[in-house]
Amino acid sequence: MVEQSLEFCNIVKSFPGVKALKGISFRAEGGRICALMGENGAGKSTLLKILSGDIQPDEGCLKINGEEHHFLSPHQSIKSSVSVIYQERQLVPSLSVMENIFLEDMPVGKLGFINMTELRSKTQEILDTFGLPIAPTDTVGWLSVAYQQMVEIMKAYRRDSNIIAFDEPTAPLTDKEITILFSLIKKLKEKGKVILYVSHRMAEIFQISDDIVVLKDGSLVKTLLTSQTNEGELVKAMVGRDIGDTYANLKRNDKIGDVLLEVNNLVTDYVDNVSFKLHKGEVLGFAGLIGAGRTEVMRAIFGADPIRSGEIRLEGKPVRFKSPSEAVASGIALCPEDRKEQGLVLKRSITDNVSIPVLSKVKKGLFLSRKTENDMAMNAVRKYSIKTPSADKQVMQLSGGNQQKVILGRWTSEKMATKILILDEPTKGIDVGTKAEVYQMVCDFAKQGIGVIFISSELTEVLNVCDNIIVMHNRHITGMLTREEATEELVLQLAMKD
Amino acid sequence: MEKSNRLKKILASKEFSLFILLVIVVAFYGVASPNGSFLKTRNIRSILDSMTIYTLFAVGGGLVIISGKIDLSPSYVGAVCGVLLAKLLDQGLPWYLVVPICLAVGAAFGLLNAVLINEFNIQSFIATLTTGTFIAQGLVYLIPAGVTYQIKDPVVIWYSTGKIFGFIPITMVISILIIVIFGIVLAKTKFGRSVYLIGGNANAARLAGLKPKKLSYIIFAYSGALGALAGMLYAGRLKSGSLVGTVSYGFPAVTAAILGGISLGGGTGNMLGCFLGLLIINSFNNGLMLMGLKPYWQTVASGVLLLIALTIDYFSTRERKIKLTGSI
Amino acid sequence: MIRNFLVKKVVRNNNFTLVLTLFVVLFVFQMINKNYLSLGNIRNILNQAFVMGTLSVGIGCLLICGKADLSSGAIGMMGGLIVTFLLNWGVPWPLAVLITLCAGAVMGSLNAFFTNVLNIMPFIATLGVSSVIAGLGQVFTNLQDIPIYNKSFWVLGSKNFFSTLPLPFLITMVLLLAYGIILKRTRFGRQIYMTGGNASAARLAGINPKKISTILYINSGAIATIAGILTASRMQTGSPTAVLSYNLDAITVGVLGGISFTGGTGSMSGVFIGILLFNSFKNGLVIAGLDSYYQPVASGILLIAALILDFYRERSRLKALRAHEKLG
Repeated sequence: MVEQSLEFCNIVKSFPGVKALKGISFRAEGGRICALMGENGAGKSTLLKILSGDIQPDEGCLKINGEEHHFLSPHQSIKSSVSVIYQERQLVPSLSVMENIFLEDMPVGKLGFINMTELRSKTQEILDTFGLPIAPTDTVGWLSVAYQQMVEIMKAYRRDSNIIAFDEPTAPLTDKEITILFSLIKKLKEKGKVILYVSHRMAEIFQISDDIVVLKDGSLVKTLLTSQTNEGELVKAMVGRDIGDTYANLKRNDKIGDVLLEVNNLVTDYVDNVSFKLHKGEVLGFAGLIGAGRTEVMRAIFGADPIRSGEIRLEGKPVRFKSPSEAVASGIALCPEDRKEQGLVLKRSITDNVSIPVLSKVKKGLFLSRKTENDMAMNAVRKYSIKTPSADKQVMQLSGGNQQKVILGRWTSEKMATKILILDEPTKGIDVGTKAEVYQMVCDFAKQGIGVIFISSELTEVLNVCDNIIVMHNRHITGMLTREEATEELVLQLAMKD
Repeated sequence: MEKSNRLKKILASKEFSLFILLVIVVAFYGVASPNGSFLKTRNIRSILDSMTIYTLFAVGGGLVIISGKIDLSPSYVGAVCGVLLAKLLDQGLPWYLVVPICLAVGAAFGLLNAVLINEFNIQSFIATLTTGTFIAQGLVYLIPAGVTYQIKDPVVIWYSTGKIFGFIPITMVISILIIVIFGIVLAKTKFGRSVYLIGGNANAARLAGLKPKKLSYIIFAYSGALGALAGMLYAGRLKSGSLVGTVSYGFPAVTAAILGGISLGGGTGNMLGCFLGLLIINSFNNGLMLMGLKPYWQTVASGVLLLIALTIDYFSTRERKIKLTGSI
Repeated sequence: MIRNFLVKKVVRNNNFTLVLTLFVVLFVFQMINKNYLSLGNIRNILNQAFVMGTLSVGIGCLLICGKADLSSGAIGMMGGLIVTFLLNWGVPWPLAVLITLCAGAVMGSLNAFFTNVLNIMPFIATLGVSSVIAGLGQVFTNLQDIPIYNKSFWVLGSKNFFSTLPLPFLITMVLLLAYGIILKRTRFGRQIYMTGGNASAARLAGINPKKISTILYINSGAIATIAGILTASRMQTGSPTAVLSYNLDAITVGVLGGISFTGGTGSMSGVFIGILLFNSFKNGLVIAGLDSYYQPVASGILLIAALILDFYRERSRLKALRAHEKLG
């Protein structure tokens, strides 16, 4: 058996406004499982996308068994015996399980027709290996997410590639499937394949991996042997940036007022039984893994998703918003995680984006007052030092950090009179300098008596900016901690608690 | 400093390049048309006059496109309202009842489109095509049931064919008023701004407190009502309810709107550009006729102009994209 | 247990509902008029069906791939004209047919260029191409029909088998069968479903979505000319207005037959039943003594009903999925 190996050589990749990978080099050996760890935005997914040929690096190359490769398309990557299992499942919902598994490589007979019997029996073989109770002819769109994920994994398994990368494969799985998956990964390892494994779940990493590569802000921080390390060291490597000054200089609000928002037993299609309180001038953090249901809680409160049952009280009065416009009228503001898709109208100017929620208030008679609007926008530009020559600039021409400031400007104008500000991953995809500015803004909002809800998957951020922290896991709240009690280990435990 | 900046902005704007294009078309025909007949006052009036019906469809169609959807039904709705107008007048109803009824029928078609699009998630293209080419087209035949109704109502004939100072057609005044009013509404009012915002990103607009669904109903109702108005003016000019009606006017009107910088996908464009687009297409077609080319070339020309407009749109947005992301 | 499962599968199958509807339609109209299912009338129905049927093969493949085509009607019309010109120049008919097919492929590649190279929305790009081709057809013919003198060519459109099955419809059936097999049983066919169902997944699996849709646009152009050739042969004339209006009907029968507009679903067997359903319904209305003017309205309602059904089917799928999730 030839010894397999995969080497990343000085990979550099930039996106507009962010340098996603700053020269990553490491080597993964066949017959070992190499775990990639790091916070969100550390660059793991970008690295996998480069491996699959989905995107191309600006510099650097891949070496497979010592041979240099530059993948220009997914096709080339597959041809070189590489399979990447994405976090976002890449399935065709309208097709059957067997067609999805053999997507690009269906067995054909002499006349060029697909050999259905062979297709079915081959698929059945794979299904038997996995021991799953689904049929080859089941339509994928009708399967549960857990089974869909398994189909995605079987797709890569079927290719029998020499290099297989898993991106958070266990996120939608239940314990039963996880056991199946792990025994399978171990089998693949015995076959001498190179396996990359990305996950946020500590326990898993220690259970399955041999090596651990820790990434952070696009750089490689540390390479560890799993057998010679522990959770503590790993967490430290993941978060241990020079954070001292950023947080120490933060001017925090120390006067927390009355209860502003009270949520009791909230149930929607996506979350179960959520209760919490938010006070005036408080920064309330929501920690947890991606998909824990934090965003969904906020969307329900904001009137964007329907509520099944439960009670919401705003300043003591029961409310239930049927649409976001009602929530906005009551002084609630939401900065969504996906700025480009849900936050901004990219084609329009800064002015247009800032004045959306208060259009009725910038009217003079029948018409909008361009001057009032412009003053509002210029105010935001000055207050948050948005880098732009004028307020007429299209928002799509700004960097990520400046775009985030435009949204903050929208919700914190005098005319808006925001009472509650919900920030969903406000620092995602923005550079370190701007992050510090955002933290100070959050504290300033609190000083003005605004209740701030701060959702973030970056632990250090939540621990240092928020007054109180709520941790969610799998649609539930699993714990509430004060700033004093909270430690990274404690939050991580709650976020992964089953 | 301020002044030179503004000048620069004007020179770089899409409207300015449209204006140049218009000047080129006019100059070309001015020289090339036999005896310079293209630039005679009568011919210019006839160009403007031929724009009337197109303008009404382009305003409604443009409004819908800015909001991120498309409406292909108004020209058929116009045909329905044309025959409806003739029939109701023939049955002795007074014009001040008939005209609002027809407008309401047009708006109702718009609302039907909005229901299909917003409540049943049907793509606007297929939904409006169905209500237009099947339902409205069918009603065009069903309403008169084989009879051609003549329009004799003096008021309807007056506003459809009359001329102010014996020179400017009233219909032309109506259509220019409509495009000016909608131009101002789009540029200056909350409603107009909202149309741009939901066209640019309906999801973000909703989360920022607008109501995209409600707006969509209003926009489609306007589009339907404008189609009805166009159909009524057309019927009034012919002094009868025609079975063909305004059907062939819809596509060139949408072409003009797109040529005028109202890009598919929503969120951009304005009525000034739309007006220039209309002027260019109508001058172009008028010129073709003066040069003695068969009228069939107009169908070809509107297709070619549409494809050119889309290609220009592609290249102008691509440049911006490249600047932003370094790739497409 | 197993039988139970089979029954469930058959019932959930889209074609089952369609066949059931078809039988109800046939039964009801037969009750109304005893001549409905006579050999002569069946031949009538099939003769009305072959144009949209042929077009729907090419258009159906594109819809499954997630693309639209509004130019097939115009390409078919042009195909009829080209074959007419060639025959009247004395070209033997097999060669004339072959050249026409190639011309269709070239016209189809125009669509591919605008949608895949310039990334223009398929709907609007093919609409533009359609307008250009339809206009050119009018220009070439002066809007006059051109008689065909080649008698051996007439056979194509006039031959009947068993006095009920016209040759053109037989050709339609052969095409449906051939493409049905390609879609279901070949790699390329499955790649069409993948591209329509999830273009990003297809790309990451090493398939080039643009290549697939390019092939399909060229294919659709060639198939459209078959419809044109058959129509020309049947009418014994080349007409600049033939085939054009069947484009929408072809989309309608595709959607009726279960092809969803978002792509990735549907089959040629569904399209076949859709063709039969649509045409027997239309014909039945006439046979039942209703004014032919009701036809478009009724077809429109039929199409809207199919689209709404599609919406509910998708919603129930999502609901079932979510319920599943909570349990799991």
